[in-house]
Amino acid sequence: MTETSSFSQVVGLWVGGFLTLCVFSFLYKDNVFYKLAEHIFVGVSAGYWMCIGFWQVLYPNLWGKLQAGDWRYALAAILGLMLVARLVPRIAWVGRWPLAFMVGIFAGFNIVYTMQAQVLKQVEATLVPLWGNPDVATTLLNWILVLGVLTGLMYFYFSVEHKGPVFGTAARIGIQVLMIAFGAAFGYTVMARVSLLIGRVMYLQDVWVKTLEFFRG
Amino acid sequence: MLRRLADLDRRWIFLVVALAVVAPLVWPLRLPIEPSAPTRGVYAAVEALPPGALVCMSFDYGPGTKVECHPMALAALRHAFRKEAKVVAIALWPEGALFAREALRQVGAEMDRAEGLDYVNLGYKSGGEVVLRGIADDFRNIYSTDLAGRRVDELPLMSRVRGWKSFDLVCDWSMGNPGLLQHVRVVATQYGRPLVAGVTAVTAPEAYPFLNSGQVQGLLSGLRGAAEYEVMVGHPGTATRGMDAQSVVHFVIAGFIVVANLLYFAERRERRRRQERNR
Amino acid sequence: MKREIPLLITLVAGLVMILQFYATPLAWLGDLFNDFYNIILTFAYVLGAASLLVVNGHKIQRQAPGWGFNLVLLVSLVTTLVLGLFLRPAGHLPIDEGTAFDWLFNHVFTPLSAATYSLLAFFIASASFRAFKARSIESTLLLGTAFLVMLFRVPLGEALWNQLPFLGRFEIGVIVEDWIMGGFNAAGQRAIMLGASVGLISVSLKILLGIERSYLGGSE
Repeated sequence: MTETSSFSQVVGLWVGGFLTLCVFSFLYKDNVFYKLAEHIFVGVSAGYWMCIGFWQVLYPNLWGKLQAGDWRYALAAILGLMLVARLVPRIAWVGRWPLAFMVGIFAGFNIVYTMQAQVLKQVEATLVPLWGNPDVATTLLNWILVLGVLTGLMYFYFSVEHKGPVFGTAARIGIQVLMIAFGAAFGYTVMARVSLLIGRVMYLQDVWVKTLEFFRG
Repeated sequence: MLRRLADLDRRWIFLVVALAVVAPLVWPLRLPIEPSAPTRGVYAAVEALPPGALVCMSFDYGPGTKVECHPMALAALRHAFRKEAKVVAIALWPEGALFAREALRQVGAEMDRAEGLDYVNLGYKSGGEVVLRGIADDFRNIYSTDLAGRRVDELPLMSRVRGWKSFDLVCDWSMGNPGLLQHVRVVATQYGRPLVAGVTAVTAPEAYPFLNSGQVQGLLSGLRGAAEYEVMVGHPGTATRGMDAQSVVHFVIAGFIVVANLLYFAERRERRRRQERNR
Repeated sequence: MKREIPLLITLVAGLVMILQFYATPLAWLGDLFNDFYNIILTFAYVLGAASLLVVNGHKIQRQAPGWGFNLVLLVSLVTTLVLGLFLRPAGHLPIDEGTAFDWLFNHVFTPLSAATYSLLAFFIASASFRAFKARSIESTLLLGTAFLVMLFRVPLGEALWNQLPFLGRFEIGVIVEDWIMGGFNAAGQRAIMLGASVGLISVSLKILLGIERSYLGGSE
């Protein structure tokens, strides 16, 4: 923030500042400036993703491999082009092949990784001692963890009615635990959204600071 | 009166929020920031690095969440370079690759670190988890060049890098999917690498099971986590600057909720009274 | 055959991805499939850009209402593509630092994206005023927890709490962090994760076995 600003940087900051204010104008009401900013955003982001994807993936990982003589990658290019064929209604069905390939890979990964990282490891982490801990706080936290996970899971088990002294009570406790988790999530969501606004206001502040720095030389 | 307040034009609410953000940025409160245990976990993990250690940093965020994740990355880079660690940057989001470049250039210049020798930016590859799995035992499976198009084998630092097992620590600055979950599944669980993360506040609550299970050694949550880490590293930046505004706006929103609930209870009581009278 | 071959592709790809964890001779095939996945996914970005060109081009051609904005979108898209693919300074990639594409990223794309996300702060404040009422025990619990997190995970809240006569002795940061986030929240999130994970594994298995076919779309 203390570095001297170049002319193109200052112009860029004013362009960025103007576009930011165009987006914020939506808060008063929908208007032509907001629509302009929205359409520029969609166009630039689609173009941006394609350019980065080209230079970071297609150029080294596809063209580079083909240039090196690895002709297996021609199959990847063909599958990629089949995906783009979805634009033509008459031959859109060919796009199913690369889609099926990607879905298959994703499904295969999910079976192994989800089981390993999100089921087995998490169950292992829930098997904690409920007595004999070095202090009361650890014991209490372990009870909260174990009971919270068990009752939460029981709440999500809808094949049995949530009635009775055991299952009904457990499901009711489970929903309370989940509500606390959702409350924490809401609090953090508010924090996140507010942070984004703070970032933009700091950016607008910096537009002024860097402009003054530039003119002061 | 109650009805008018309950039906308040939301633009008044927007104005109050805007003022609540601007005022503390113009007149800072400079309140102290106390680091939390998950932040201390990140600090401890980086602090324990021996000189010359290899660190992989994954820049998995975009412009929308740059305000939260970028200060985390900057603070971690300063900390890692101070420990004489070497950094290899990757990105699972296209924007992350350019933010990695910005962060490495800025901190590299500050601390006199050279690209190719002290840090490398391998850039973006699409596929999320598939990329992380593809790296496996050799980064060259996925990365043949860096972000600037230089061949990976021409970069001196890369001679030390094979696969995930080459790294002493992996850091993930993440805004969603792909991001932390993918790193936990592949890097931490399959390859057993120590993993610390900085996530946006939205995804922070979902990360706590991983923190509890030890799959993640430390966690920075949102702007607050970034500010805590900046304070611990001794280089307060944009995150610290933003915490005053964060404080004030939170109180304003809490105030809105309280007022709304008071109005709700008042209206409910009024409705019950009317029902009693009608009987 | 228009549906059978894709189902077979899904099964083979998925099986290779699973078996490569257990059979090292298949590792080379797993690596190849990984690379193919990266490349095909990137073609999806090409599809996205091309799709935008087609849809917006039609609207401009028909002079549909608001076609001026569609023209702005197309001009933005084409400008970005030209700067990012073709405008290549000597010895550099078009996406390198200091290029026109880099300028566009820093001063157009980043501010627009960040500003669009930041609107949410206003809407969440407005929604908090209108919608978050303590109508039941559960919603009161949710709101109460949200209050604690919102007020005491910020420096102002911590500073005010420390001034309280008796309660100020207890570290509110520890209460929120260790007990709420690390205790109840971790338990609740873990329960959700376990349930969702079992569901995800089940759906993935159904996809591989061809029972779940909705991803293929259409009736053809």
